[in-house]
Amino acid sequence: MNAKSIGRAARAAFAVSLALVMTLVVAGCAQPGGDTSGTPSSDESYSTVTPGKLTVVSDLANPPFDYMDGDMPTGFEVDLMNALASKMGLEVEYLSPLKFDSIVPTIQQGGKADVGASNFTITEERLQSIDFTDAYIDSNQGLVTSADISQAVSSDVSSLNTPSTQVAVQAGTTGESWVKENLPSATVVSLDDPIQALTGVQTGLYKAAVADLPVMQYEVKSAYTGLSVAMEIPTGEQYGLVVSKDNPGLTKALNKALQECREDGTLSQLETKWFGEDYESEGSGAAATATQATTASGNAGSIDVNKATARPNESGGDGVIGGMNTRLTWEGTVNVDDGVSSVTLSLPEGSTFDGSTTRVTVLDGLNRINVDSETSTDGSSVTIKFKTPVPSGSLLRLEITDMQFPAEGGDFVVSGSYVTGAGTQGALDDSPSISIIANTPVQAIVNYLDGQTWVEAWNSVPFLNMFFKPQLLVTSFVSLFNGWLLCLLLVVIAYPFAIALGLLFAIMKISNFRIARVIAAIYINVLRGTPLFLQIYIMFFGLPMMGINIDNNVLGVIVIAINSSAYQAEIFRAGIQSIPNGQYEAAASLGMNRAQTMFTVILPQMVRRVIPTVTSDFITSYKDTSLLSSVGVMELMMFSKNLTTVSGNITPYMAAAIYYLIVTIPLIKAVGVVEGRMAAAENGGGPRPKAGAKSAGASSKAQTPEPASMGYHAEEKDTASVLGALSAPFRAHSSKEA
Amino acid sequence: MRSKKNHAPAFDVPPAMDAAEAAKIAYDQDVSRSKHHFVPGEHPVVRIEHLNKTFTDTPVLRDVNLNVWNGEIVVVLGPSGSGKSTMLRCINLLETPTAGHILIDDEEITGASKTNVNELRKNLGMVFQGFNLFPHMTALENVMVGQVKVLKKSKEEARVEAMKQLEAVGMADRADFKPPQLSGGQQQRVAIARAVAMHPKVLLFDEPTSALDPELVRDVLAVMRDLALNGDMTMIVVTHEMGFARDVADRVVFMEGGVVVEQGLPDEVFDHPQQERTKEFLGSIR
Repeated sequence: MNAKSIGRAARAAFAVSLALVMTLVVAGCAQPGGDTSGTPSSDESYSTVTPGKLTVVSDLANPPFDYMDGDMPTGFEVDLMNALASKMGLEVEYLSPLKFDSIVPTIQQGGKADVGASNFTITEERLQSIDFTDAYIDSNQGLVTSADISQAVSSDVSSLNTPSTQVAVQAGTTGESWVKENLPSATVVSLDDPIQALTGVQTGLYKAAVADLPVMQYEVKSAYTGLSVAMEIPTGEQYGLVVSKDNPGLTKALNKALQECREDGTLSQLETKWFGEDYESEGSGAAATATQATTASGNAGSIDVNKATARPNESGGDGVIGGMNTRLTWEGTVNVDDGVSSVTLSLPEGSTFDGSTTRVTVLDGLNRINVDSETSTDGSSVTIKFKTPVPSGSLLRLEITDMQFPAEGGDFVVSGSYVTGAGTQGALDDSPSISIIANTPVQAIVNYLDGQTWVEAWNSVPFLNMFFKPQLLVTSFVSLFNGWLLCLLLVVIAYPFAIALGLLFAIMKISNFRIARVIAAIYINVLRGTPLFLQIYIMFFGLPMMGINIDNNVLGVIVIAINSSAYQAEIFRAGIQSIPNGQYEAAASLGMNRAQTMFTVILPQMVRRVIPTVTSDFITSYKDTSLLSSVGVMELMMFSKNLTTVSGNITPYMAAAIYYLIVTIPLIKAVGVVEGRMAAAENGGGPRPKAGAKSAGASSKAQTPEPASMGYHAEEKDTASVLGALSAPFRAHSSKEA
Repeated sequence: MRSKKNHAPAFDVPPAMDAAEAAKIAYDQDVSRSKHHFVPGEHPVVRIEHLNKTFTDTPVLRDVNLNVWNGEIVVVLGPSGSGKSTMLRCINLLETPTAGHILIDDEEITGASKTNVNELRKNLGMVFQGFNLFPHMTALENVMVGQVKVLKKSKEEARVEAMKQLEAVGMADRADFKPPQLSGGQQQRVAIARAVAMHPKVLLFDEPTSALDPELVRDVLAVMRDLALNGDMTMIVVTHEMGFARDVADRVVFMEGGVVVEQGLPDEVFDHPQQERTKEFLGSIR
């Protein structure tokens, strides 16, 4: 590729990004509604996308919270939204379901919906990009397996912690975080909704699924009867409604309405309606404390340290990198009669954190206990003082966000001390160690970028920050690399099979045997007439149901190969039929049989003719590998989706786009070059164009005069026009560039 | 290339004649109208009896009878649509006759099975109006491929033979060129070499110069004349080249409307045509 064409490619890339900017600008301007950005001065004033309406966005895939009953949004949350809206004098309008991991960006960007309601757990990370209302319900996570192994899994959950185990989660959920943190060796498959995850477990495609416990319990009871909840994971999370940071008035108004619903009993009515009589509403669990806690009396007791984990950071993929923001989660079970009034965690030497974002969760079983606390920091230790002692028997979880482990990496333990309600001191056992990956050169670049003023200026433009954040672009390139390799590998391995199969079916389609023709026609038409997406679902969910378990990547190769082979068959058939009849006659007159004619005369010529079209199909297949992310193949799209859910930023998608383009653009160029050369060499196997026509140049190839066909053997195909039809998509492309 | 089913009414054609009897009749007919040197007891190499060919409902050949002798040069003349190319293509079964018999060396080829057809075609070389060289092969490979694949010669033998034939048509210095790099006349000369290299019993030429620019026609005719005069090849040539016919042909056959109208020695046919239609045709050409 010469410098000129690279320049052209760069220009093309620029044009793409420009188009994106334009779209966004237009989208931004398209927000009419005179009430936008009106008067945010008054606390109580707020705006909605459509005046008089509260537009809600949800994935509507979490029964019994939010789901589609026919075409009606239904569920606890839907009822709640209606109740809130009526208190606010508004009418509820649900948008079409959105994927879970795109709801937060939608709200953040604004202009489409006012509220996101889809079992959103209130987390510090999410709070950085959007606001939450007060919690409207408490929840936990549940781990579901098939009923026959649930016993084994519940007694030893670490049996799932092997690379060969696939655990399905919903992308961007707390369940996903939990699996990544607590089953770091397992393969996490991020899907679009929890129902898909359960379907996968049901068919045997995945070993387990982790998602919101109420949803799992509901589904296991009502639909997926072959499954059972193997483990209730006490996370003590709380769901809140997602509101844009630009609309604080709406958050306040929703909170006020929520409070009213709580006070007038609407909320508990809804809980009873959707979760039954015995549902323990928030906070009420406190009464049931200390049932089995009294093991030791009089002495200081102890705190059993259950675990300490760190969340994989933005660019870490599955690992935790030192010197980058992460979230430390520490869990201990209180076994102190007098309760615990303060806990001090000593973090590894060299860690940094400001202690301002610390989250405290106290659980009795699966129920939250509300305990007010106060956090103070001193050097590398953080102390949490509780206003009321944490009762014995409860689970204490401390989450410290925005902390960084030492950049040089290593294995770290968290130690510390506590003070009982009676004032006695006790020491905390060391936590299990946390492996931290040493800071990489990439991270050094990111740190360097962090300190640059131009980066700061760049990121202050919302669009640039959202789509082309330099730091994230750097880390994305590194962490997407494996996904990109897998994409290439999938299609490169699949392609020879696709070509071989395609050739087979092409020859069958033009054979003299009726049965062969019928089989080929059915194969080609079925595969070309159904979406690849559907074929992927059928193969990935269907085969395991038949007891056939194939590695996901291999299955990906098979699906791509089969799908592509149908298209190849048509390309080859058209290519074979574009060879002039004279070639068959010449071969026949030499005494060649059908096979000899095919292999020495027809196919070699056909191959040359179809190269551009086959290449274009290759490009399509390469792009189509992205669809495999929907069933958990860890390709480019999957990696970028994961990064986007962690970072809440679109930049990883842009990095993925660049990874796709660095393969497709050179190929598209190559097709153009090959085409031009073929146009020049197209005169073989028949008479040359007359001198007059020749002067018109290659562009006249479609009008190349055919010889005055003699009598009845006028069956010669107009080769140029067949070739033209074959490569029509590229014609359009190359003429645009010319 | 699926054979088309013809729905024309069945022709009532007598079975092929006994070989000896047919040879005797053919001799009686042709002895006075061909320059061929007849050998006593000789049988014709190509024998066409009651050949009929119908495309859907259009009759193209109607009861054509023709014999061609070993080493004879037969030139077939006639206006467009007279059926002469179709007859030629029937001889090597590129078209399936609707009725009638074609025999090569007294062996009937009409109604032969698929595998036999390929075997029979070894005896019949063909040069096409559109050359039909294989564009992905060099000139040399074009001439070699049939020898290697069909005659099962070794590559080396085939190469020697191919070079000999390319030499004969004056294309040895273009042996490594591919067809698109050659002019039409050069392509046609390679195509002739390709057909001759198979050493067929009969060489069929289907308007070999019709697609050529006038200045290129001469070279091709020179090659064909050379082949006709210096070899012992049997040739059936469909052409519009009157000069070639007069100079080279042992016999000229004039066809029109799917029937053989007149045949005889070239000078006889050109200078003293017996049939009105022949006169008209020759008049229109001059």
